[in-house]
Amino acid sequence: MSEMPVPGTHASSHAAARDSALGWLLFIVACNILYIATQIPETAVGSPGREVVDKMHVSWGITALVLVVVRLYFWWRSPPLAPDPNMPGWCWGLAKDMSLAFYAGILIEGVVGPMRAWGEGYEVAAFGFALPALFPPIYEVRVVGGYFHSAVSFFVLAILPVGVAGALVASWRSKVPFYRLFPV
Amino acid sequence: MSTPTYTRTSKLVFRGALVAMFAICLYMPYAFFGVLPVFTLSNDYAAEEDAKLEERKVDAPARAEISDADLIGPDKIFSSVEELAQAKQDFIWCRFCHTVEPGSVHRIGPNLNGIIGRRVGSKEKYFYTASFRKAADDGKIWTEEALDDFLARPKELYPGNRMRYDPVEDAGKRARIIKYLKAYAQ
Repeated sequence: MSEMPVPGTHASSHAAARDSALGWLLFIVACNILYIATQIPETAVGSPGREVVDKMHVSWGITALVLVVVRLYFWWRSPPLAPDPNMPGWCWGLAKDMSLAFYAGILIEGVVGPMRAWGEGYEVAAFGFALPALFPPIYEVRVVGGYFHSAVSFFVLAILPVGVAGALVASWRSKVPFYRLFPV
Repeated sequence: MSTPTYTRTSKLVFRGALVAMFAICLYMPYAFFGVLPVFTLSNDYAAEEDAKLEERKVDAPARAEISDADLIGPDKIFSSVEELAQAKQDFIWCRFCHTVEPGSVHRIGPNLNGIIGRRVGSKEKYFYTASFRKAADDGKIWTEEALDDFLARPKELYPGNRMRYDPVEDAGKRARIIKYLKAYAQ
């Protein structure tokens, strides 16, 4: 028996559950990373607390990169999205655009972050497993990479509440459950 | 039942808002931290000042060769263990933006190794604001008095500089920070 399309999500219940789980996992991991990032200015450079915060920031950052690559692969390969017919077109469009911007932001962070770290000579390791540095410390890479890593983190920080607010409005207008509207 | 459509107007509004949001976020690291995504390929005074620093180091042992105990005493930089400990504590937040170790990277602010006696705005590759560049051209030197004055009124002395911390109003704290730089940045 073929799987039936699930309105408001994707073409099949299996794909919908998978993508929804991946999206929400990314949402939680991103919130965790942003919280950790707020602790960076609260801990002094060179202190044991700072070292823990730095390691957690990098570890969860790499985790987010892996998750977003998988999510974007399914976004690219999955059947087209099937919006709920009761939902205003703009609601579904907003949900998709916000989610894609969120995933793109995480992807850029995951690429620029290690470049910035290697540029400064920092080790990039996820929970103790170090990635080989792709290049030696380069000040220019560290300066430009550091700036854009910070700028995109502000973007992700802005996307999260805006995406949730958009999803709440869309959920109220369409009666589609909130959790299916951001991230999709 | 009709399939909902994502109209061209909605697309334009939402995607335009996303682009605008991204553009605003590009400005945020500068607004919050004073950081810029730029660097200079060369500094007119860096080589000369680095050579002077090397000369000064001939008589001064490298930091790695001296212990904290060597810095404490009647004729030394710090008068007591407590003063040294307090100086380290006072400098701890300066480290958020500055490194002091020889050859270390510039963070948001420039590396401060050998700053005392060095020309203002003369570190290689660091992108200084206009007021620091002018001070470099004017030949201003970071003496202990100049550093004390700067820490007390950074915005007045170098308008437009990107240091985001408040002035250090406590004269004792300023003195300890300068001692720290003398002790640990040689």
